[in-house]
Amino acid sequence: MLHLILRVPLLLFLLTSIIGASQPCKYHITGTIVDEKGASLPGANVWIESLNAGAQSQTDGTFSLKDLCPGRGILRISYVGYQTTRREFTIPATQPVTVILKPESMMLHDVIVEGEHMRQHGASQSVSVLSEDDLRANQGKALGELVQLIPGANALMTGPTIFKPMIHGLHSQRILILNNGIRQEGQQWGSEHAPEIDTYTASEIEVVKGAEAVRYGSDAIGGVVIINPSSLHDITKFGGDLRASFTSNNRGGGFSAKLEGNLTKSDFWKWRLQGTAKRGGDYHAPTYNLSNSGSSEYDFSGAIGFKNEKQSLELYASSFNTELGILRSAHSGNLEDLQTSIENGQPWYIEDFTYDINNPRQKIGHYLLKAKASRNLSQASKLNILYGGQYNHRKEYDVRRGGRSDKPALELELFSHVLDVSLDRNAGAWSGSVGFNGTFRDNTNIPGTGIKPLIPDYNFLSAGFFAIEKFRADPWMIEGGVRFDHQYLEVLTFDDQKNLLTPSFNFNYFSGSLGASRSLTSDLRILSNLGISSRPPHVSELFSDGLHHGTAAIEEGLITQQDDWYDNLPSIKKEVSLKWLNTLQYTSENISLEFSAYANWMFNYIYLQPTQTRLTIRGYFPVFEYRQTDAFLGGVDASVNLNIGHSWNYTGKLSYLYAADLTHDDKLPFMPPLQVSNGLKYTFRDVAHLRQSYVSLTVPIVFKQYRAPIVVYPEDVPDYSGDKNFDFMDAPDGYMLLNLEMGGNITIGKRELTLIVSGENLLNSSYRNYMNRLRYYADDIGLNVAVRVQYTFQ
Amino acid sequence: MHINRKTNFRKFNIVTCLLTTASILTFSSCKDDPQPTNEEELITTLQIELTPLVGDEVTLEFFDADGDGPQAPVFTPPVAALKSNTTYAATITLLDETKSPVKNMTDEIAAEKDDHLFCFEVEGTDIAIVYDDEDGNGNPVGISTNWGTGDSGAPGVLKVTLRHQPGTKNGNCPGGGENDIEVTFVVKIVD
Repeated sequence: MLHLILRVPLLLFLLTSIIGASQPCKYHITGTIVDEKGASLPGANVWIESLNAGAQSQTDGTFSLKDLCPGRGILRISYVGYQTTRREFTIPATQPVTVILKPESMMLHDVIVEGEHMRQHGASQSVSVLSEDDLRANQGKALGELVQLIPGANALMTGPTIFKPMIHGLHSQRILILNNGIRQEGQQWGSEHAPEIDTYTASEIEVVKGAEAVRYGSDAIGGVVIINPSSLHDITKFGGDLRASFTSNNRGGGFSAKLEGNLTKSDFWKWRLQGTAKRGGDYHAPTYNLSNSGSSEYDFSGAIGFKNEKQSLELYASSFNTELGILRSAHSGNLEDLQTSIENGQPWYIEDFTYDINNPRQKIGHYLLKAKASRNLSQASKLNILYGGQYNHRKEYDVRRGGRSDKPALELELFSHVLDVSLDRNAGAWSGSVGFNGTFRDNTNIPGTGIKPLIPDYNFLSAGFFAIEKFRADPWMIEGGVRFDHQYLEVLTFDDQKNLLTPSFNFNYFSGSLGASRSLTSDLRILSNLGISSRPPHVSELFSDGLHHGTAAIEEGLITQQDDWYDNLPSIKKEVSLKWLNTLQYTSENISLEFSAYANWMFNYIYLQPTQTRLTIRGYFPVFEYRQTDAFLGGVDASVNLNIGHSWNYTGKLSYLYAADLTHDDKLPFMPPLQVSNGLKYTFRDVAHLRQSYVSLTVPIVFKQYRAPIVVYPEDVPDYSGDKNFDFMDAPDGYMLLNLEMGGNITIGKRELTLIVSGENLLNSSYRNYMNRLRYYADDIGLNVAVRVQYTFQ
Repeated sequence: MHINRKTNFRKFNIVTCLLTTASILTFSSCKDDPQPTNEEELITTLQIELTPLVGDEVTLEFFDADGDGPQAPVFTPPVAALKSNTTYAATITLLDETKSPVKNMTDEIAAEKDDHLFCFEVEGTDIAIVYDDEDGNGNPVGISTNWGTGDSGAPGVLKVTLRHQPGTKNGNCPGGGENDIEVTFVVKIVD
């Protein structure tokens, strides 16, 4: 063996230790991988063919191969979405190599991007990406609205302005939102609480569909939504962009401006400033106004960063402020009101269009300060430290008596600190990461609401330690990880006699994951990921107590539903998920195809089940209690992208989810139905400065949810004695929409102007979306024509 | 899982404060113990006082000690008996009996009478109810009403709802808005 290697002109540079021979060769080759525009490409594979060994480019696109012997060889550089390039080289090398990768003729969306952002998710995960182009064509939309474009991802909606991202049927505290590298710490528990994210800051959004609990802890049990701005360190000179969007349906506008540049004459310090303003009035359904669905948003962020060969530092601050109106008619008093709304088939409150936002409404501020530092300890290892301090201030206003409408009905302050420390090691075939995540949360109800808080005050502390290792040997890639978490929760609440109680909880739990990918041919790859993860119940699942307007339901937590719980705390079990996710991926010049199948067993799955009816002075209300049960969620996602000739492109998407409560042999509420989308795009030939102009037609089809829980109309709820999950009305019929889009770029020098005009729901069809929590009250929105402009300059 | 109750709170608070102070940003406050919420809009009791020109007063009462909580409400009397062919002057009183002294919540409705309307629905018995008050726009409110009973018979039901209709009140039942109160009494007319 040793003899054989010594005869090869080049020697293994990093596998040397495995072979066990001490190598006399100490030359190295370094270089940078960039795209045609000069942007660096992190995570590209750099392979020495004759040695069957290689490395990945770093976040700045640089790579380094060490311990090489003199000689000649071929470097193969590959990167998903780009043409694989081969480059001859000589050792000793006189200067660093720069490799420019050309994009493939077709951009690959919805495919697994191996290597890219490898620190943010496992390489065997099914990951879908919304590229910069996708975001440009949809700028101004909310995060949850954007992720709906991805097969397997949905949004749980509360009217036309509140979208919660959902992955494979899971949402809220089961989905981690990673905003610019920081775990978003808002009031994620509420099904009508949208993530506090300015989507204008994103240059790319990734959805990781498998559990990532090993990397991020229990919040990522159902997947991760990653919002990445373009790297601060990629800034080469002063520049920026201006963006504007106008939408006809709500007569809304969104504006965003970004400026960035070098801070000093040297290339080490960079800065960026960005601001967003959005304002919209009432949306309207095809036949009526959705009164009080206006919104406003004002965001600001600033970043400053330093980077040299050894270390980097980044400071980032952001401020997010929004006010969202909630459909006036959806604020129902009791079951009788809900029954009336369902019978009427349209909202009882329809007024003329206005920009005014009245009660019920939400007013949210989210402020973030982030500090990130990393240092290369050696050529192959890197230490990362990340701190994020967040302050979330949520106020919800209700329609109230006695002049109290100006007082929030719910006011919560959440301070949080997250600290992530990781040590990454990248030694060619072997790479890995060990790290620590710490989270502290302090949640406080601001006194003076005059209403018993829905969730109590609490302090939360969690510490997690993880180790992840990956081995790569073409055509195989194998990865595995383990994690241990400790969580401490202290709740500050009151008993019936208004005595302060401070129950506390300690949870210890392990998570693990195992994954592999194998290239079957150069075009075909199969990936498999198995994850087991645990999640202790969230405070809201333990201590919720109160009336939920909008669904006319009383909700009670796992603990508050017990009589006299404070004398004898019930035992609470952790939720455990076992998810197996398999993906087949085919990518050739003109076809890209991805098919994923998953099975997720959720043990002690926590969800709200209707259990009894309660008579109060406001009439009858159903009581929904959080219960733990064993559930199964399985399904398939598929996407296909075909180039037909030079000008035509077809995109097809499908997602299907089967969900069941295994313990009660029942159906689960609010699970997305079967969805199919077909899109055809025609790209025009470039004319002078006009480039990439296109017109596309997309037809999303959403089927009826045939596995919805049984229907018990509100008026029948007091007499209902069954033990099945129920819904207050039939799942809405399926629907088909027609969306048209056209756009193009005008490029002059380093300035680029993009114009995109689109029409959604062109036929102005009336429909209701099963995933919209306000479907009991009103139709979804009708025709919406949007104009989007982006001007980029340098 | 291990649960320990009411332990180490003080200690934890100190640790928390130290931790917080030590962190780069002292966002977090070392907070005091929270105070219980004063539930301002709670209504525990609905009373309808019925005064005839001649004869005995009748009071219908609905009492729910814990608002949305699990304790079942109490109707006093379980079946209210009204005299046949009698006219009663009816007055509604709303109370929050969890407060000390007991808080009269009717005043709050009276102060916002332009936004509120009591609605009455009678089924299975013969009671005619007419409004005896009006708001600033000449629409009824329903705090004061007159009830005229018919002949005696089997028990029926009387549903009282309080509609909260800010900006949309037009005097019609049920009209827009939502139910702030919905109580159904069992009523019987006797000779």
